[in-house]
Amino acid sequence: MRRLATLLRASRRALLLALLVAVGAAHVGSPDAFFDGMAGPYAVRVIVRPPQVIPGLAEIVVRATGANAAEVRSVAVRPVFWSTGAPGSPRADATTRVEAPDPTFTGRLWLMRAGAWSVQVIVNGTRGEGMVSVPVGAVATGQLALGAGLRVLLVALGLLLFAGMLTIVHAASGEAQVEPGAAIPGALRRRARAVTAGAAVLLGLLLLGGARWWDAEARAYRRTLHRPLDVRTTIESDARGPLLAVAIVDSAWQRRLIAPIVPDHGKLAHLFLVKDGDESVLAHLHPTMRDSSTLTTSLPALPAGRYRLYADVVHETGFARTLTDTVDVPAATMDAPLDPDDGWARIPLAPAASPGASVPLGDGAVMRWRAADSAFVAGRETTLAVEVLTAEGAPAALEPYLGMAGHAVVTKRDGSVFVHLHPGGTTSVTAQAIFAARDRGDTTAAGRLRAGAIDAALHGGHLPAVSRLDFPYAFPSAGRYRVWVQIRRAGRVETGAFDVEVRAAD
Amino acid sequence: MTTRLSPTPVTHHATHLPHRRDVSRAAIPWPVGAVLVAASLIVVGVIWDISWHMSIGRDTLFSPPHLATYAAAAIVGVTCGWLALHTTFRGTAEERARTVGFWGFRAPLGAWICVWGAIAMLTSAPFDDWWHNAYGLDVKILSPPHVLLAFGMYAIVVGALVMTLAARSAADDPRARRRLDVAFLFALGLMLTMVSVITAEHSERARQHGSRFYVVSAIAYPVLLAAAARASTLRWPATSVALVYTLARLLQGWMLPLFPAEPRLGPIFHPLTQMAAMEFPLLLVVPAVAFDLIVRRSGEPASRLRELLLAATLGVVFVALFVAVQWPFASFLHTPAARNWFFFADRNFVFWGRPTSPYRRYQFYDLGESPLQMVRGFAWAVAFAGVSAWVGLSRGRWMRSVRR
Repeated sequence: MRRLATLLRASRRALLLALLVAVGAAHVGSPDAFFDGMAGPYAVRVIVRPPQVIPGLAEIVVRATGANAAEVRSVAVRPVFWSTGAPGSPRADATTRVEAPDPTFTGRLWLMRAGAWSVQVIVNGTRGEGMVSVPVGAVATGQLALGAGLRVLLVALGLLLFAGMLTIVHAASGEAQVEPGAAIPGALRRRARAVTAGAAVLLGLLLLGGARWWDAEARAYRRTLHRPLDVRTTIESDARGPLLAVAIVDSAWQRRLIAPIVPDHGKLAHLFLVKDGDESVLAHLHPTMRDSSTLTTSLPALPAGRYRLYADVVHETGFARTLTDTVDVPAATMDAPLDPDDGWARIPLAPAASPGASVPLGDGAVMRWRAADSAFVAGRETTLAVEVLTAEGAPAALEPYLGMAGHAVVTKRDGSVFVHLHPGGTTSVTAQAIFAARDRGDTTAAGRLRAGAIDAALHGGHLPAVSRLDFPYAFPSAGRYRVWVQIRRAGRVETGAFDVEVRAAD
Repeated sequence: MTTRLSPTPVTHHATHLPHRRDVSRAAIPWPVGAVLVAASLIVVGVIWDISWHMSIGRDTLFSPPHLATYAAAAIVGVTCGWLALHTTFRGTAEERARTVGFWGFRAPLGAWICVWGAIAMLTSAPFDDWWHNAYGLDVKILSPPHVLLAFGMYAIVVGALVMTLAARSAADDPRARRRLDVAFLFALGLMLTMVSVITAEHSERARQHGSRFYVVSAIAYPVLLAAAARASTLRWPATSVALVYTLARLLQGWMLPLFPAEPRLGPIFHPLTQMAAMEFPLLLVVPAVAFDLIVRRSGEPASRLRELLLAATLGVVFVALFVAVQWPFASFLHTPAARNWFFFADRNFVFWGRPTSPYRRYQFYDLGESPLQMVRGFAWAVAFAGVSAWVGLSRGRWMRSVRR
C-alpha cells in the first residue's frame, strides 16, 4: 500500500514536471482565476487553479481578508456548469482550513467538461452565510508525459505478465492435461510448444493493437486540447486613417459551434496592442463588430512597428477568451474618432516596481507603486498595489473607468503571458452576472440568455471614488514582466507602467 | 438452477485415479471455494462500481465497490500464494502430482491463472491513475488500463473455473463431482456476466435495432455457451450459464435502486436519488436452450468436420433466435410497461445523460443503417457467431481435458 502511495506521489510529481502547458483560454499563459471581493458580509480572496486535463481537479484557495476575517468559520465550494446552473450541480464540498496568518481554506473540485464554469464559494461565520460566484474557464491545455519511473515499472510488470501468460498457456496445453503422476508424452510436449509459440505471436499482436489503441486515444485527446481561435488581422486604409480589422476566420466560429460574444464592461471586446520587443507602447481599444465575425476599430497615432494583439471577449456561456495575433502598424496620421474609453500610452522606460517608484501622469500627478512586497516569485500570490497622487501629493480622485476603479494589464517580455486584471481580480463581471442570471432562470430552455438578463452588469455599477488600487495576482513563471495600470481622471484615460523581475520559485 | 444429471454422463475423465478418497469428503476443496467466492466478489464489485459511477460519479481508492474487488484480489493472493508455497515446499508427492510447474514452483493451473489476474489488476492501478492524469478522468468503460484491469478480473474468474475443473477431475465421489459440475457452470456464468459488462456500451437497448449490437453479441456470447454445452456433463449447461448471468443482472437491477444515492459530480443532467442499475439482462437464455439441445443431439465430437458443421449450425441458430427474441424485447423495454421494479428500464439512466438524448426518451438511436447495410451486418453476425461457437466448442473440449 505504501508502495502504491509512493507511486501515486511519483506520478503526481511527473504530472507537475511533464505537463507541456499550451495556451490558456482567457488570458494567455496565466490560467488561474483570482477574485477579491465580498462573499456576503465577508471579504475574501479566491484563487481557482483550473485543471490542465478535462475532466480534472480544480484547486481552490479561499482566504478571508477583511477586518472580520476571524469571524469566518468554514468555507464550502461547489462547481456550477454554465448550461445546468446551480440546480444541476452537486452539493457543496467542505474545504480544509490550513495553517496561515489569515483564515485560509483549500479544496478541490472536479470539472467534468470543457467550457464555462463558476465556483460558488459559500462562507459561513458569525454573521451568517455569504456566497460569491467565481467564473473560471475549463479547457484541456496540456498532455502528461509518461515519467521514467512509471515507464520502467509498467514495462517490468508488462514483461512479467507476458512471460507469465506464455508459461500458463504452455502448462495449459501440456502438463495440465496429463493424469496426475503420469509423464508428459512427447507428442503433447511438442504440441504445447507449438501452441505457446502461436500464443506468443497472438499476444504480441494483441499488445501491438493495444499500443495502436493507446496512440489513437492520445490523438483523440490532443484534438480536445484548447486551441486559440484562428484570427486574421489586417490594417485597412480609410479616408480618415487606418482601420484595424480582426476577422475570426476559425471554422468552429464560422459554423457557429461557439456561443456568441456578449459585451463586458459595456464593450464587445477589449483589444490590447503591445509593442513587440521592448513593450514600450500599450493601447487599450474597443472595437465594434462590423459583421458576424469581424471586429474593427480606428487606430490612435501609434509609433509604427510590430505589435502583439490581444482581444478579450466573453461568450454568452460566461466563457472568457483572448484572441491573439500580431500586426504591423504603419506610420500614418490618425484623425478618426476613437471610442471615449480608448486609452494608449508610450512609456519607453518604466521604473522597476519597488515601494515608492512612480510614473508621471499629466499635470504633475504621479502613479506610485505602493506594495510593500518588491520580491516577486513565480507562482506566489501577491498584490499589485498602486496609488495616484496629485501634484500636491494628495490622493487623486479617480473616476470609474469602464465600470472599474482601474484596469491593469500584465505582459511578459517574451510575449508568453498576457492578463487583464481588475481590483476584483481576473474574473469577468459579465460572466458573474451571466451565472447569476442563469440561476435566476433568466434563460431559455436551451440555455440562451434572455434579452436584458445581464443589462446591469454591462455597464458596471457606481463605484465610490478611490485613489488606491489593489490587483490580486500571481506571476505564472520567472522572467521580465511589465505591469500597466490604466485609470480615468478628469475625464481622461491615463496609463502608468512598472517593470517587474520575477524569480523562479525555490 | 435447472441442472440435472445427464442420463448418459460423459465419464471419460478420471476413472483411474491413483488413489481413492474418503466418501464423506464430498465438499468442494476450500481453495476452490475461496477462489469461487473471489470471482463472485469481482462480479459484484464491478457491477456495483459501474452503478456507483452512473449515480454518484465521484469515488476514491477506497470506495465500497473498490474494496470488494480488492478483497477478491486479496483472497486470490492468499489462497493461491499459500497453495503454491505449500505444494512446492511442503506438498506430498500426491499433491505435487496434481499441479503444473511454473518457474520452479508448483500449483494447480487455475491457481497460476488467478495469480496472473491479480498481478494484472495491480499493474492496471498505476497505469489507470496515470491515464486519468494524462487524459482526464474517464467516464467510459473501455480504455486501455480498464481493459488490462478487465483481463485481470477475467483471469481470476477463469482461474476459479480451471481450479474447479481440476478438482472435478480429481474427485471420485459422485456428490462432490456433481457439486463441482454445478460450480463450474456457476463460474462460466460469472464469466458471461463479466463479458456482458465489457460489451455494455455496445449493448444499450437503444442500439438493439441495429446490426452492430448483434455483431458484438455474436462475437461475445456463443463462445461461452458452446463451451458450457461441450464441457459439462450436466443436462442443461448452456442454459444454466445463461441463467446465472440473467439472475446476476436481475438481482443488481432489483437491489441497487433500493439504495439512495446522489450525484457528487457536475454537471448533473439527470438528478437521480437512488442508485442506477445496468439494463435488464439480454434474453441469452433462449439461444442457450437451443445450444444445449443441439450439442446434446450431435453427441461426442466425432471429427473436425462434424465440429465445424456443428459450430456453423450454432452460429446460425444463435443469431436467428437472439434477433427473434431481443429485437421485439428491446421495443418492449421502451414502453411504459417496462418502467417498474421488475424491468427497471427507468433506472438505467446516468446522471450526466442529457434529457434530450433518445436514450432518456426511451427511443432507439438513429444509427443511419440502410437495409443493405443491416443485411450485411447480420451476415457478419452469423459468421462471427459460427467462429465464436467453434472456439467455444474447442475450449469446451480442452476444459474436459484439464487434469491438474
